[in-house]
Amino acid sequence: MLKKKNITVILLALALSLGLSVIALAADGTQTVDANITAYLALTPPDAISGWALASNANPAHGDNQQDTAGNGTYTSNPGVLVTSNTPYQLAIKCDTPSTGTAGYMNKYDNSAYSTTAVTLQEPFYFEFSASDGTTSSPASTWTTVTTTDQTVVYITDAATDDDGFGTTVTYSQPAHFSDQRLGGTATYHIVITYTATATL
Amino acid sequence: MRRRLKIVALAVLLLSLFGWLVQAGIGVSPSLIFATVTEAHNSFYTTVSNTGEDALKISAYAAGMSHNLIGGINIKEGKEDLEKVTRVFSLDPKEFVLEAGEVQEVKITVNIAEAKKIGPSGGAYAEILFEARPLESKGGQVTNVARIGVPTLVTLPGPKELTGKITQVSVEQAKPGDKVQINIRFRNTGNTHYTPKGGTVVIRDETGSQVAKIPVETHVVMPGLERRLTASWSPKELPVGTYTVEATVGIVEGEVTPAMSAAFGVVEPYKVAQPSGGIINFAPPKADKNKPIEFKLLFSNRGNVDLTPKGEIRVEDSREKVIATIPIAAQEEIVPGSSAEMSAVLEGGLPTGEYTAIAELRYGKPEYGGVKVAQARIEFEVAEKEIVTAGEIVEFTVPSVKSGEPIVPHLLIKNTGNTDFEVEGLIELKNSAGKSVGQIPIPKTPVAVGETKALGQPWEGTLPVGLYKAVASLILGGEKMLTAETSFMVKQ
Repeated sequence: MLKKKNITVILLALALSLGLSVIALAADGTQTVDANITAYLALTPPDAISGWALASNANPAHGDNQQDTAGNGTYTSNPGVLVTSNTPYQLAIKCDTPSTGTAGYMNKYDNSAYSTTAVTLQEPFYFEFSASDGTTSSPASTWTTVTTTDQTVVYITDAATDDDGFGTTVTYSQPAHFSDQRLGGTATYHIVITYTATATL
Repeated sequence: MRRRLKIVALAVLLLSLFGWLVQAGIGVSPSLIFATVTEAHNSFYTTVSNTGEDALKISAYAAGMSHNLIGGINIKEGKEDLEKVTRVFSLDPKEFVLEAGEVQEVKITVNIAEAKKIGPSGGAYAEILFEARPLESKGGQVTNVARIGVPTLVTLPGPKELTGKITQVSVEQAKPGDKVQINIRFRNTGNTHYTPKGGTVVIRDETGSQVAKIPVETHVVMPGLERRLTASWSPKELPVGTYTVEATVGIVEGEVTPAMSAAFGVVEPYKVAQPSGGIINFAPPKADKNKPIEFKLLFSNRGNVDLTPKGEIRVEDSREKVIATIPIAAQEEIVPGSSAEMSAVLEGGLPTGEYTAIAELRYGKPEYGGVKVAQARIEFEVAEKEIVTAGEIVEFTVPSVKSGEPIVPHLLIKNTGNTDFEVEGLIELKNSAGKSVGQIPIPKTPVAVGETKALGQPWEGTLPVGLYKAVASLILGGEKMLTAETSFMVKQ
């Protein structure tokens, strides 16, 4: 009796399994494929600037001695700062904290290091920017002093950039006094500018 | 596990997908990470590529992270933030060199126990930063460094509290005829990040009849933070009247926030009333000991309806104790796009000392979305002696030039008073018929007591040959005016 019951259960299970198989085979034979793009962001900052001749005057102000970063370097199409992204993003600017001298100002630099005796220009380092591509919710730029904390200058709200990226043109200004010291030898006034690009949420 | 992938083919593929070869750049993928970790699987990866032509030294590190109302990232690099985040997130490798076209995979590991200890208990958050510097310094005066931040939102194992509430509802319209945008400030009061499951805005006219029901666009919100969620309405008709919006946001399937309402007015067909204003030019008053002090400010109407702001000026002493409150109100309605001066007098004056004045003006109407507040504060000093703002133009000449050369004015002002002031104004160039042919603006310039300062800048315009007059008009400390004029020739 018990054996018969077992056989019945096995047969029922077999029938059900075959039935289900038939149902599966009877489906329309399509395969669903879902995919998405991996978030990607690339950033190219302007080239380093060298040989920048600063003209002095008695009443220097922001806007003096402008240095346009666009087209700087090998690639004339370089807009200054280039971002390629498939998400909305923001771009921020900050400067370094020099080992000697004053942050936000250009300080004496020689042999790949800041001079142990600080020599600092009297006027701060300024920047101005304009987003040349994309949809931005950022306000129009004015001459702004650079600080050691990030200042977000552009929010790009487009879902993605063009294949060749979106540009942001950045212009620097370094006013100089007649009373600022002219450096000799290989020394220059120096500052490090960091551009931070990050996806937004 | 540390894996170094020097697969140039992959890099070339990435570059061909995402742009041309450019100098000194880096790329990161994924550049936005949403990850779920368990005790068994508590790590994930991202990939850094050198998209430029020179070798780069890459530093990888984690910083704290929050977001603003529009989803912008605040990178938190304070000492305490860095200390907390490095207890939770570890990166491997932290420093490496990438030759042009090379790719490096970076492993991100989450310490779940530390993350829960620091909180919130349901999620861990970091901005993973990759900083690229040229391997060989090329010197120069300005070194530009690239840094990419990867917002990283991690769901931790354990119970999740998905709760939230609406904190504000407002209505805006870019210009008459445009769509009406309903802004909903939503606060995540739970213990992990999540994207609300939709939401609804119901709009009713003044009879209470429903005129629209529109969906809310949602975005991810971190715990303890607020996001602006929006709903757009493009009505076929938008007649004059008062409307109410009632917004709800879905937390999870079947569960919504309590509704929040706001009113808005339509003052002309398709034109939503948008009261907006601000206090500009709240200047420190001239204050002598125990004499009446007049506070003056300028209120600017930046909205699209008439405003009649009123409120008060509170005066606090150096211990932040309120010692006087003076009412202040606009004398008449201020029309959109214009400003009006408002003043209030503290009749009894104040003893000698340093004070703070806080102006608070209320404007708008409940039916225009509620009463708004504009605030401004200044610090001022009450002096023993009378403050005298005075100056003198000690030189004003414009040398004659050849046609086509820039006009270079020489304008010197001396501060002859007993207090520092700011001077601003303009130099107007006029031809022999008295017609204005050019202007040289003089931006706000501080002048200390006894100091003589040169003002003005070259004018690059071109003038035909002839005799011209230059008129300098200066405003000192926002209260006194000085003028001077001179003649000059433009020669062949």
